[in-house]
Amino acid sequence: MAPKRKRGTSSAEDIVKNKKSKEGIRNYLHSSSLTSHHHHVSRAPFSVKKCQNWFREYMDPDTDSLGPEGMEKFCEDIGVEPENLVMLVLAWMLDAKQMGFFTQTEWMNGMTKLQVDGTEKIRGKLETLRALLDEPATFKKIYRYAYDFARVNKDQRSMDLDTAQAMLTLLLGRQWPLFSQFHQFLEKTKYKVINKDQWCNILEFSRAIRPDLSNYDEDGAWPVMLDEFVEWFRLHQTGGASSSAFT
Amino acid sequence: MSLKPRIVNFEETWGRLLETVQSVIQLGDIKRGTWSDRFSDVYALCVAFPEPHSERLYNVTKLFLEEHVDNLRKQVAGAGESLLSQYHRFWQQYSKGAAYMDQLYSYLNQHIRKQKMSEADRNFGAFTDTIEEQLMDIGELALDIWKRLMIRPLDKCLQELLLREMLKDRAGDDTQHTVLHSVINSLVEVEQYKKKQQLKLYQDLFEIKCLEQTGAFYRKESARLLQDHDCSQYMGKVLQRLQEEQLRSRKFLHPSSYHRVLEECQKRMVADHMSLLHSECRTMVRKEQRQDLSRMYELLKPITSGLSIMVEELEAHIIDSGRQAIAGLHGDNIPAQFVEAMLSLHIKFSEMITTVFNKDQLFTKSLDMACSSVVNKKLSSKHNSCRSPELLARHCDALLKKSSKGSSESELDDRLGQCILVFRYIDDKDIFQRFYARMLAKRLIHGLSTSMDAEESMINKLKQACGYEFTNKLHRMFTDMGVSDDLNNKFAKFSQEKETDLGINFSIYVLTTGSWPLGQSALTPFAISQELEKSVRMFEIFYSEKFPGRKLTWLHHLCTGELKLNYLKKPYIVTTTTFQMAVLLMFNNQDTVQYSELINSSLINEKELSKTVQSLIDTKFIEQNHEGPITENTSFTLNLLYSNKRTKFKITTAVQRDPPQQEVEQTHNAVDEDRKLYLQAAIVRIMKARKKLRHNILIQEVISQARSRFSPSVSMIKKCIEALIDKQYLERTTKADEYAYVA
Repeated sequence: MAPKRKRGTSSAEDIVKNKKSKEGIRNYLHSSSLTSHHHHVSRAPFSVKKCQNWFREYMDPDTDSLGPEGMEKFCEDIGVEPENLVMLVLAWMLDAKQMGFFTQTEWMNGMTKLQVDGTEKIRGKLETLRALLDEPATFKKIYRYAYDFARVNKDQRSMDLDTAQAMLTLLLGRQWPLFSQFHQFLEKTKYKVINKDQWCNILEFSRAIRPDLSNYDEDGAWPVMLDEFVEWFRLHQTGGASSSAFT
Repeated sequence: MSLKPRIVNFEETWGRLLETVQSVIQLGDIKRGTWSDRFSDVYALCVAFPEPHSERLYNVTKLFLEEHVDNLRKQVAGAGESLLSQYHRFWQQYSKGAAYMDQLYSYLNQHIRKQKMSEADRNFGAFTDTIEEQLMDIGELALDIWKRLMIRPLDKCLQELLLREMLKDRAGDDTQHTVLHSVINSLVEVEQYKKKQQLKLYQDLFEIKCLEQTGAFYRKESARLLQDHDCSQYMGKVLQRLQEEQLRSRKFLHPSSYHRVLEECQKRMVADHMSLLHSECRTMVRKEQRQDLSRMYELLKPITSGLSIMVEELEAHIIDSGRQAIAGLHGDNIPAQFVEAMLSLHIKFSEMITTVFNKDQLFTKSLDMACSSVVNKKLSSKHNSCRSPELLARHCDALLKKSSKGSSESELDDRLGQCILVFRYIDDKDIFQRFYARMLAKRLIHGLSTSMDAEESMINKLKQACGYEFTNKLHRMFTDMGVSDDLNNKFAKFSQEKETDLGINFSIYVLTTGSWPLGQSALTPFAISQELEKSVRMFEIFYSEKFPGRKLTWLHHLCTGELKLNYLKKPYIVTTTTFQMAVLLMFNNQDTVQYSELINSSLINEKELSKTVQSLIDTKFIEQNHEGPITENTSFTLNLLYSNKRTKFKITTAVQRDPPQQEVEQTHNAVDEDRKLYLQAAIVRIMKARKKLRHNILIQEVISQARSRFSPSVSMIKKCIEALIDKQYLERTTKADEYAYVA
C-alpha cells in the first residue's frame, strides 16, 4: 500500500499502480524460484495452515502480532541479522507498517505471495530477495518504503535525524561514495528531522550527481538541505586541501 | 480662331514655332500674343487634318534640343578652368527654358499621355520595356537630352572638379558656393520627372565619391588631431569639425546626403577611436569633468551602443560615491543623515544628468540602478538584512513626531516627499512597512503626531508609491483614531443619559485587532484601580449595546492617565501610565506601601510592576525605604517634598520605550514570517493556475510577483516550495526540476 496520504485523496490510480508493480515482483520471484526449486528441500506445496502455525511460533499472544522478541527469534531461525538489509526487503514484501513488527494479516498475505510457509522455504528465498536490491527501480521503491516503515512516531510527518541517519547508513552506506561526508554534514547541521521530500531527494541526488559534484546545478530544484550540503562539502574540501598543503 | 481640326502646313508652322522655341530655351523675351499664337500652333499641329502632325512635331523638337545642348556642351567643355561656372550658367538657363517649353507644348504633352494610356491598355499586364523609345513630355525630354548630351559626356570631368572644390572648401579656401550648389543639385533636378530612383544619377556620379573623399579626409584629420591634442581637446575639435561639416552639407549637397556625410564623419572621427574615448571615460566620470563628459556624450550618442561604457562608468561612480557617503555616517541622528545623504546623491547626479547628459534615459536609468544598489546594500555578506528600511522609517517618525523645532506644513510635506523618493529605491518595502506601522501606532496612541493631516498625507504618498494593499493597515489605524473620537462623544452622551457621573474624564481608543502591530505578549493581568472601574464598566456596556458580539480587550499597558497631585507645595498635573497611576493611587490613603500590597492589589506581573515602581523611584515620586533589591517586604514612601519647575509634565516615556535592539529583531522576525506566508501563497496561486511548472520558471514568477514588496532569496523560495511539498500542496513530477499542483 502507498504511504498514507495526509490529505486523504489516495487515488484509486495509485493503488492500481502499486498493485501492478507488486505483481511484477511476484512474477519475478516465481520464475526465479522455479530454478531453485529442484535444488532445495522445500518441495511440498504451500499450505495456509502450515503458514499460520509458523506465525504462531513467533507471535506475542498479548497483541496477536509478531513483536520485537518474536522478530529476534525469527531472525535467528532464518539465520539473518535483524539489521540486515534483506529484512527490510522482506518487510517491504510483507508490506509491514511498523519496524520490528509483523501483524498476522501482513504475515499471511506476504508469505502467501512469496509461497513460503516455513523456515526452510524462506531461507531458500533470501538470495532472491537480496537480488531485488540490485534493481534500481525496485531499490527506489524499497528506499521510499523505508521512510514510512522506519518512522517511530507515525503522527508526525517527518523522521527524526537519528533514525534517518541509521536508515541512510543501511541503505546508501555502501553504494554512495559521498555518503560518509553526507553523514558528517547531517551531524553538524541544525536539522533535527528529515521530511519525506528530502528523504526521496537524497537517493536521487546520490544517483544523479557525480562524486566530484561537477554536474550539480545550483539553480536546480534540489531541496535546500542538499544545496547546503554541496556548499558545506566544497568549503570543507577546499579548506581541507589548503590546510593539508600548509602542513 | 477655331478649334476644329484643319489642314495645316507643317513646314510653315514649325518655322514660326522654331523661332519662338529658340527664344524660349534661352529665356528670351516673348510677347504674350506670340506665346498664345504658338500655343495654338502646337494645338493645330496636333489635331491637324487629315493626318495629325504630333509625332513629327515631337521629332523635330527633339532634334532641335539635341542640337542646342550639343552646342552648349561644346562651349562648356572648352571653358577650361571656368567649366563649372559655365555649366552652371547654361543649366540655370536651360532648366528654366525647358520648363517653359513644357508649358508651351502642353497640348502635345496631353496628346502623348493619351497615346501612352491607350498603349498601356492594349499591353494590359505586360511591361512596355520592349518599345524602343518611350515618348516623353517635352519638359522631361529636354532634361533627358541634357543628361545624355551634357552630363554623360562630361561626367568624369564634372566629378573631379566638384570634389576638388569640396576639398578646397574644407581647406578654408574660397569657392563659388552657388555654382557648386547648382551643379551638384542639377544632378538631382535633371531626374525630376522620374518616378523611381530619382537620386541614382546623383549618387552614382557624385555622392559615393564624395563620401569616400570625406572619409579619407577625416581619417587623416583625426590622426593628425590626436597627435597634437589630448582627448579633451580632441573632442572639442571633433565637435567643431562635425558642426562645420553639417553646414557644408547644407551649403552644397542634396538633403538626402546630410545624414550620410555626418555619419561618415562620425565614423572616422568617433567610432574609429572608440577604445581611446572609452579608456578616457573612466577618469572623466570619476573626476566629474562636466565639459568633457558633455562633449563625449554628444560624440558618442549617435554611435550605436556607444554610450554603454559611459553609462556603466557613471553607475559605478554613483554607487561608489553613495556607499562612501553612507559608510561615513556616524554620530547622532543617523536616520536623518542617511536620508540626507541619499537625497544629495540623487539631486547631485540628476542635476548632472540633466545638464551634461541631456536627461538621457539611459543615464537616468543608471542613476536609478545605482541608487537602489546603494540603498539596498547589505550590511555584510553574512547579514541578510539592510538597515535602510529601518533608517528611513525612523526618519519619517522623527519628521512626524511633535518636536520643539517647528517646521512649516509645506516644509514638512516636502521632506516627506523626499522620503518617498528614497522609499522607491528600497527593495525590502515590507520591512519599512513594519517599522513604519509600529512607529505610527506609537505616535497615534500616545498622541505624538505633529499633525494628523501630515500623517494622512504621508500614508497617501505611500499608497501612491506602493498600492492600496501596502497601506491598508496604516489606513485602518488612521481611521480607528477618527472612529474613536466619534465613539468618545457618543459615550459622553450615553453617560449623561444614564445620569452616571464617572468622576473622571475618560476617553478611549478602539483599535481593530490585526490592523495594529501590537503584540499581545506584553499583556499582564491587571486589577483595575477602583477609580477607573466605573468608567470601564460603563464603556463596556455602552460598546456591547452599540456593537453586539464584538469583544473588547483592554490594552492597559498602552494607556495613560492624568493625575493631579494635591499633596505637594503646589498642584501638579502629571501624565502617567495606567500602571504608574495604579501604584500612585495606592498612596492616596497611606504614605507608606509595601511591595506585597502593590502586588496583591494591582495583580500586575512581576516584570511590569518592578519596572513601574523603578520608574517612580527614578522620577523621585516615591522612595525605597531600604537599599537593595526589591523584595515583597520592601516598603516605599511617598516623597512629600517633591518639586518640579514645570507644573504639567509626563513621566511615561521611561516605561513606554522598548529596548531598541529587541524591537528591531522582533520586527525582522515578524517580517520573515510574513514573507514566508506571502511566498507560499504566491507559489500556490501560481501553481494552481499553471498545474505543472519547471523549477526555474516558478522561481522567476514568484520573484516577479514579490518584487513590489521585497526581493526574496532563491533559498527562501525553495524552502517555501519544500514546505508546500511537505504539506502536500505540491509534488515533484517524474521529470527533474518540475513541480505539479496537487488539487
